[in-house]
Amino acid sequence: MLKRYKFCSLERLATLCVILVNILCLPTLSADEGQTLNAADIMLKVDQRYSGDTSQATSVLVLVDKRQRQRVRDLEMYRVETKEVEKALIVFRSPADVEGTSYLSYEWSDPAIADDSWLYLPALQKVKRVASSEESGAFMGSDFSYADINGTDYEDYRYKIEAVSELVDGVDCWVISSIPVSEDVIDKTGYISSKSWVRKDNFVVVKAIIDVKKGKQTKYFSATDIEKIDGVWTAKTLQMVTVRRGEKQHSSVFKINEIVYNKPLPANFFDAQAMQRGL
Amino acid sequence: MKAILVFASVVLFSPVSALAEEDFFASVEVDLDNTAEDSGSFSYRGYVRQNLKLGIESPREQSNVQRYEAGVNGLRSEGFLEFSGKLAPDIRWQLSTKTELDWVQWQLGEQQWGLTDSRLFLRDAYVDFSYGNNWLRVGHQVLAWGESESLAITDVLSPKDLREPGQAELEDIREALPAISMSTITPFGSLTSVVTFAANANRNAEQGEEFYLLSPWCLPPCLESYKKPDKEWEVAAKWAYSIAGSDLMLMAAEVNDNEQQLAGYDERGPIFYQPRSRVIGGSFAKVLDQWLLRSEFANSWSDRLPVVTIPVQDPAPSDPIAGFDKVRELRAMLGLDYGGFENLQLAYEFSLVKFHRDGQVETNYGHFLSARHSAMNDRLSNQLRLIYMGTVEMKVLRWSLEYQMSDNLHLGASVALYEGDEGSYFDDYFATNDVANLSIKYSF
Repeated sequence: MLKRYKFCSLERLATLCVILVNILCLPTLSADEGQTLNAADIMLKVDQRYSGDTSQATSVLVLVDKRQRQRVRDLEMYRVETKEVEKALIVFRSPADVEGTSYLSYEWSDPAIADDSWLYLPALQKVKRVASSEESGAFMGSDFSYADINGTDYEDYRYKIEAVSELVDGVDCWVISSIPVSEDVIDKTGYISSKSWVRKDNFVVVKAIIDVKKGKQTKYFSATDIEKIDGVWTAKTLQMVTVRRGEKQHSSVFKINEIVYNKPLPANFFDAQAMQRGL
Repeated sequence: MKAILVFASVVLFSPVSALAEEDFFASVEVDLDNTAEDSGSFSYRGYVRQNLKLGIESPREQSNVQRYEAGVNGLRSEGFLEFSGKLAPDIRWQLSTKTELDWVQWQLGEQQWGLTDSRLFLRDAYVDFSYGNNWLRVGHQVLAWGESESLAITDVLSPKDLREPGQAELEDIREALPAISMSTITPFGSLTSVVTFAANANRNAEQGEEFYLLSPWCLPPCLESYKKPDKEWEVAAKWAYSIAGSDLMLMAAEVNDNEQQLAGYDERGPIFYQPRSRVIGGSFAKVLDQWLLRSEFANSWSDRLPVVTIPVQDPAPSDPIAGFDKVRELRAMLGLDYGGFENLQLAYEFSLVKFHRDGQVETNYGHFLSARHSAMNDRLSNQLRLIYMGTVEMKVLRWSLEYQMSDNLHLGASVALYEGDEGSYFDDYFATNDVANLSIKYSF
């Protein structure tokens, strides 16, 4: 369902922005064709999507704790995709203490080539290569985990249609459950199981309930404000709420203010030099 | 009874649970009125921070510090202001300054309150020009090279603030210097060359401060002085290349060593000097899933120091801290980072310094261990750092905690504990400098 990235700690939010945009960009499917799909086919369609050769966006990530205190991160995101590699650059514009922090990643199509990630911290004035982090950990303090951001491998799950038709905001959806094929997958992602609502018209995942192993938590994901931008289906608002024992613990809301697809981007955007000099 | 149980289950688990589930999908109210607006061609940011420093132990008599007992050791107000903007799409500028105001000072065992000292530092003052794959930065800037966090190996350009070793914040460790830095991206990696002028040396503690390195030998009216380098310009170049999950860097430089050496004495006291060094080095970093392997090395050759033979009234110390002529020195580091634990980052470095002195070879080792944990959705972060530097036989253990009350307001606390090898110079004079810091920082 999501592309696979591996990053560490704070900087992984960068991937969130790019990936979450990607998951919502899908080709349309005729109703007849949709009726003959099984659960695995549907999730494969979700995984296989066109998200533009390039994209650039400004967005906001809001973290809300149980006392309704907010923390806000303003981001600029740039992405370019070729046959060999997908490059993404995220620059943090606020708050003041992280302003100028940027994260650069290269995801190679060849599985034999390890993905590359670098982090620039203005306080250090240095670009550092970073290693992966535990996938069940939180992305930059948000409710999106590394597993959410990095994506889970399609082959790691068994899929089952729980409901053939259920309306979400007036749109017909499949309800599909995903069960990890092994304990290793549970240990890696921290997720025991999940249930997703997939729109039949464009294969956008609009809702999901995720059972988390640690702390017996449940996470509720929703995607709203879905519109077609430059020919690409995009959810401009993504939300993840963490719940424990029926009580909301923390929420994260990701809003895209502006996004443009397929506008040429300079190649030197995606280099350590750009991270240091700023864009 | 059975009817009651059935009724209860219907009430509790059907409509109520459905409503609860829907409630968690409901849109979360967020206030975006205070989000960053497009600053156009000009922006600014800054912070004010108040630090309270508490000496945990009573200093030893021989440490010669002005503080004679445990207690408030410092009250410092800091202000940082940064302006940046664009003169054109490819021309950017940045200007930043930092101010320190000290409100507490010890004099011969007496604590004095009031504005006792003030300092103004110029940090960034540069203009960036970029054209295609080329980038030129001219002005006052920080130049940070290398992989090591514990030892300056290829990081030979920007001096460091060593007034309070192990206590400086990340953004304050390196000092800016006047330089022209040029960088270009090629298919074979990036090339960077730097020319600096009047870069100065590491900033050490001054007389009367707790980490004044000359305290055993240079007490008032003794006063150290610093000889200006014969050549104030410095040059450095590096080539960096990334491939297959790895970063490789090679560098060469001719610089004035940031670590000052003793050149001799005059009637006032010791004279220090920055030896002229030629350095060749490199670094390597490679990711292996959740591991990051880092390594770095540098070999330097220094000119012999001229020894001043003017007789002095007070006898010269019999064992000066740095009275030798440094000729050749090898520095190396091997480090490992691990990010496989949830919200926990671990790092370890082993370092080596091998120098040739008057025909003899001396080798010192160092260790650096760091653990950083975040909790409460990154509101709370803890970091523990342990440094052992064999060159000065010093151990520092620092624990720091930061809590984000909001995006603008941060609370901080830290403890730094010092220890030296038994009988070492550091143990005799600085081991009782253990300190606790409390801070509150407002960013804007």
